[in-house]
Parts: sequence; structure tokens; C-alpha cells
Amino acid sequence: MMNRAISIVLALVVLGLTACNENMVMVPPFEAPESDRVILMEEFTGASCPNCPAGAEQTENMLTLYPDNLVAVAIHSDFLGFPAKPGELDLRTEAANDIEAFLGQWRSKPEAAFNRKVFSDRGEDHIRVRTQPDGWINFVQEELTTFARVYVDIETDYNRLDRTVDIVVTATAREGLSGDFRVHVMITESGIITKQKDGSSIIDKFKQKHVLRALLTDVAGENIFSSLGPGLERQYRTSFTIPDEEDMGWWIPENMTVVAFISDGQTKEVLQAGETHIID
Amino acid sequence: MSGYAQDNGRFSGGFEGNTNFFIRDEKIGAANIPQYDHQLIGAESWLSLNYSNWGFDVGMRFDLFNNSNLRDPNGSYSDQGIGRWYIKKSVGDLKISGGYLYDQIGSGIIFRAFEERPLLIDNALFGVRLDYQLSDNWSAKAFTGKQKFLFDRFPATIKGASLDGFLSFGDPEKGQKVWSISPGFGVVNRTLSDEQMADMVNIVKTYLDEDRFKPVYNVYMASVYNTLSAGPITWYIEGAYKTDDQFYNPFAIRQTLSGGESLGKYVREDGFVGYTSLSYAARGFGATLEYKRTENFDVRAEPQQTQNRGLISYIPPMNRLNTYRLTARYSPATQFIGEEAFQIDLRYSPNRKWSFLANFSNITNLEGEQLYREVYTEIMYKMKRKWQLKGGLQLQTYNQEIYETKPEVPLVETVTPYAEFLYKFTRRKSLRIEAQYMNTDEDFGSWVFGLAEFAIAPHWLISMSGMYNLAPAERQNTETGDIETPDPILYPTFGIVYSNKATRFNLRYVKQVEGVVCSGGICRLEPAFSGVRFQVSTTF
Repeated sequence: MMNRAISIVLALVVLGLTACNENMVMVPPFEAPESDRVILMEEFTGASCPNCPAGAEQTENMLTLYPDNLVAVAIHSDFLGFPAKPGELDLRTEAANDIEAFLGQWRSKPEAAFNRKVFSDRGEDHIRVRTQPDGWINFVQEELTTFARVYVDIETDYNRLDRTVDIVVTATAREGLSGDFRVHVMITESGIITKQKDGSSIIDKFKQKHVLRALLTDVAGENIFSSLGPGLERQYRTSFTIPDEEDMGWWIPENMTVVAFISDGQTKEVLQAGETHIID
Repeated sequence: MSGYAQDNGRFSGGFEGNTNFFIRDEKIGAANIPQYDHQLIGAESWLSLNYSNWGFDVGMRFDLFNNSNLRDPNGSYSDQGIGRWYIKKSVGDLKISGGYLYDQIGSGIIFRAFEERPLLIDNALFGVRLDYQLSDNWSAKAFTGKQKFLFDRFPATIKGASLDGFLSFGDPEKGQKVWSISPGFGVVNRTLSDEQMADMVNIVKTYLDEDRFKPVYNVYMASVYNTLSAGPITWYIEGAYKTDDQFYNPFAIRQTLSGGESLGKYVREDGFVGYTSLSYAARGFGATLEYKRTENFDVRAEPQQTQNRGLISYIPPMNRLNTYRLTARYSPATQFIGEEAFQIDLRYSPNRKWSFLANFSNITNLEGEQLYREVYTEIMYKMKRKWQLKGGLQLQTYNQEIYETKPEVPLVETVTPYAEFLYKFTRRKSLRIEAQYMNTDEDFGSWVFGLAEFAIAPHWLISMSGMYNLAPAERQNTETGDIETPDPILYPTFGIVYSNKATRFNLRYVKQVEGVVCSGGICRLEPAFSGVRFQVSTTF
């Protein structure tokens, strides 16, 4: 009997060893695919979220890799969004909480949503994906292979005297579209310095980027068209007065952008996004 | 398990159902999830039915989740369907199994397919398994399949085989001492799908050269284990190795394209786990010594999965599994990246009245940083069958930074005396009283807990308990961000249990503080709960 047992052990070892050689996978240099898609990435984060700096760094990585195809918005909602130390700037907004509630179920932070799409082909069942930030790139890659059904163009006119910015969003259909299509307009700001929890420590001067400061449309968006032929366009106009709080370290027009996107009112999916600085 | 017999066939099964009625309580943090906001009720249930006849064993299980917070304590999950089915057939010495299978090799370090319902872990292997009885003392098995994930499966394939034996030595008739060994050997392989590899390549190609690696489809794991039994001594030892494979190391520093650094990245490294347990038991005295060392043993059916999802390996915990409310409040989750731990457990019962227990466990990371330490003592006195008194002291050191990712918090140091008194009025009626006090300056501060449980055997159990934050510690308000000392909060629980044979109904009003909940050696951070829980379980 011992001989049979030893034979089986040896067979297992031999099988294991012979099967151990696999052709090594080559990792090619990164090349961004040619695409006219502009993807909306909403990063759910917070100043008291110890794992969120890794998410913020990954967002910057991806913006470096896809400078023309990605628009990032950092959503500082209530969960782990309170200041890392008392007295710090509080980046949480009602708009952030409204968006969190509108997009539905979530698990933790950092999490991200890409074009507000449920990637069920990747085993996702929520709009906010559950993978590590390093894996976010796969959702961008997938979206970049899809057709841009709409182009989004944003024009801004900033009045320094009354700190008002007039915004015109133009949506141009690239194919015949019918349904409930909605426009969303956001104001974001980068370069806000706060303390930030990071693993088991706190970063003293963390540069918060792409922070959602204001939502100028309803959380579900405003209907911009229900039917639009190829090549035709529709415009949406709005304006926003920037609070005069630069001495506090935020609401600095030079650091602010307007983000706009068109979504399908039925599915919440984003067709195309765009971003422009308030001051060029 | 009970069952029905009909035409030589045999039915058996079971049902387990939980219903949570969520009652919002912002004061304790039971708020801001859909169940408290508008869903109000969540439920989960498992109904299983098994049938054996003509040499076949077949079974299936219907799983249901309705607005359940079991999968994700901060979210809501709804789905239902066949959660498990299987067919098993013995042909001579060969046993063939197909469907969703639970199994493990050795202590589970290289492979464990199991279910932990309190954490909604169901890592069943969807595949086939062959078990062959080579002789009375030797058996071999081989299996292949994919790991279950909720009502879906991960695309990676898992294959494995093991050989287990039992050898006995010594002849008592010749005056020789009998001793035995139960040696075993197992191998497991996981192969990623092309889609999983494409995703991993996409991730790695965004890394700078210093962080890049070539990902592999396959990881191989091997484990050698043995149990030696000689008189009062039992010695288990297992060594497991995995070939280099990609996994997420949350402590590794990554250089980013934007010129910064971030904590956490995928790495490709090999790994090792060594585990041993030495026990001695004789004449009222028992001693167990355990040791474990873990290096880079995070093996998953999908490397991008996090927390408890997709784990192929199961690394046994190395701390005492406490049962009292306060002594179980801080419990260390197994660390896959690096952990070194040992535990000593001593028990002594000089007679039927007295028994003594002392336990010491110590867990560090591989750099020697203290993660967890516990000293636990217990003395029990039994006065015939009339009453018994149990009491002791627990001292803990708990690294909240690591286990709960709370930055810049000190080690939690606790001192917890406890007592339990059981008094039997009659053979059917008894009263059990628990009292615990946890003294700590950290986390939520000091607690006191009391419980009274009145039992009328065999049907009724009525209990009430309260956990009170006697001396709340100063901490940051998660609404305002301000540092403040909150008001003391009472967390009461009232419960009634009715049991009739194999059926049990449990209705409880619960207010539960946030904390780490562990089941089967696996832990996760659970938010506070406020509401009513109704549980039904039965077997037939």
C-alpha cells in the first residue's frame, strides 16, 4: 500500500512540476487607444478615508494616461468625508450626498463610477465598481472602445467683477437619438489644501483635486432633448456666482473647472462628458 | 440530522431564515444605508433539501436575499435562486461528486471551499471531485472547478489533489505503546482566464518600470501536513508554499506617473505558511501550544477581489475565540501579507468542582510590530448540579490602526474582568447572569455589560442585556469632524427564544455598537445596528 501512496505522491509532484512552465505574459508599453470618447469618472472619497489617497493618486495616473478622454470629479460625501482634523475645510456638500444617493448602492471608499454604467459583464452589480483603484483602468479601457453618440462642448464667460461665470453646454448628436436625454453641469475645484488621512497616518498638506463644489442642475439632470437627428445640436445655458472665500483657501476661479455631461434619463448612463476651465 | 425514509430513500434538509427590521438611530450611527432610509426590512434565507437513494446523494439549496445587509453591512443586496446543488455517487471504492462542493485540504491553507453565513461567504467549488479509497488507511482525491461567488462564479479554474493516510504503530497485546500518524500531501493550482489576465496586464502596464512585473496565469500551492498521536500527545504540523503570483499588497509603495507615491500595489511574489499545534491532555490537565507564520499568502480566484471575496486559501486564526460580549469586542482578523503568532492554552481540573483556564496569544507582523496580544484567565466552580460560578480576567492589546485602518490611533489596551453565574431552580428552570466590565481609555472608552437569561427547558429562553458606554473616550464626531466626548449610550437587547425539537424561533430587539464581527476565524468591521431581528431555523 505504501508503494501505491508514494507513487501517487510522486505523480502529483511530477504533474505539478511539469505543468509549472507557462509562457510568460509580456506587458507591452502603455498606449492609449484612439478614441473620441470623454468618460466621466466620479471618485467617491473623503478627507477621513485612510485608503483614499491611493484612489486619488490612481485618478491622477489615469488623467496622465488619458489626458483627452477622462474627466474626473471627486465626490466628498458624508461617509468618511468629515475633516481629518477639527477646524479644517470641510469638503462635503449636499450635492455630493445627493449624487451618492442617486447612483444607488455602494460598499466603501474609495470607489469610482465610470460613465455611471453598471459593468455587469465584469461581475459588477452597482454603478460604483468594487475593485481596487489599480483596477479602475479596465473600466476606462472598456468604455474607450465604445462609440461616442454625442459630442459635448462647453463655453464659459467669467466676469471677474461679480465673480459670475456664464456657461453654455452644446450637445451634438452623432447618430439619431430618441429618449430622455439629460444634461448635468458641475463646478469642480483643485488645489484645495487640507489634512488627509492616509493609511495609519495623516498627511498634513494634501492637495485635493477635482473636488465637486457645486451641482448646477438637478441631481437627475435637466432634459436637454428627447429626439435629435445626426449632426444636430442643442444648447443648455446656466450661470454660477463663485463665493468670495478665496482667503479661506477655496473658491479660487483659476483652480476651477466646469464639468458637463449628457446622460440617458432611463439608465443614468453617461453618453459623453466634457470639461473646461473657468479661466483659461 | 433527522429525515424521512420512503422506499429505501431518505429525505433530509433544513431551513434558516433571518429578518431584520431596521429602526433608524443616528445617535449610535445606525443610519444612512437604504434599509434605515426607506427599505426598513431586510431578509435572507436558506432552504436545503437532500435525498439519498440507490447509492446516490443529491441535494439543492434555495437562497434568498431581500434588501439584505449581510453581503455588505453598508449596503443592500437582493437576489434569489438556487444557491447550491450536488450529486454524489459511490462506485466501489470510487466516490464521484459534482455540483457545488465544500471541501478542504489539510487545515485549509492551500484550499478551503466553505460557507460562513454570518459573513455571507460561500466559497463552494462548482465542479467535480473524485475520492478514491486506496485501502483502509489511505485515500486520495482530485477536483477541479470554479469558485462560487453569490449566484455567479469567478472565471478562474481551480484544480487540486491530495493524499491522506493513517498509520498506526505498536501492539498493545505485546505491551507496546500505540501511536499513530495521519500524514497528508496536497497540491492546488489556479489558472486565470484570458479576461482576468487582460485586466491584470492593463493594470501592470500603467505601472512605472520599478513597479512592473510579468503577471502569471498560474499559481501552484503545495502543502505537507501530519498529525502525530501518541498517548496524551497530539501534534499537528503543516507547511504550505505557493509559487510567485500577483496579489495586492496594501503596504507596498507605488511610484505614480504623476510623480507621487501611493500606498498599495500589485506585486508578484511567492508565499509561505507554517502552522503547528502541540497538545497534551491527561488526568484533568490539558495544554495546547500553537505557532503560525505567514508570508505573502493572499491567494484568490481573482486577484482584484478585496476583503473576504474570492479567497482560495484559509489561514487559521491564532487567538482565542471568545464568546462573552466584551471579551469578544476586539478580535484580530488574519493577516495574509505577514503575520507571526503563537498561542498557549492551559486547562486544569483537579476535581469535579474546580477548573482553571489560562490562555495567552501574541500576534505581530513580520517586522515585529505588535498587532494583538491577549491574556485570558478563567476559574469555574460547580456546586453539584445546583449552581456554577465562572469568572476571570482578560487583558488585551489591539492594533486598531491595522485591523480597522484607523490612522493615528493608539493601541487599544483593555482590562476586562467578567463573571457568569448559573443557578438551577429545578431541573427545567434556570437563571444565567453575566457581568463584564471593560476598562480602556481608547476607542469608545470603557464599557459595562450585563445579561440575565431565564430558561424554561426545553422550550423557552428569555433574555435581556445591556451594554453601556460607562466612560466614553474623546473621539472625532463623524458628522461635524469635531473632537468631543459623546454622551454615554446604553445598547439594550431583549430576546425570546422558543425551541421545539429541531425548530427554533428567536425574536430580539437589538441595539448593537459598531465593532469587528468574526465568524469561523474571518472578521469584518460591522456598523452599528438598531432594530428587531427574527430568526427561524429547523432541520428535518
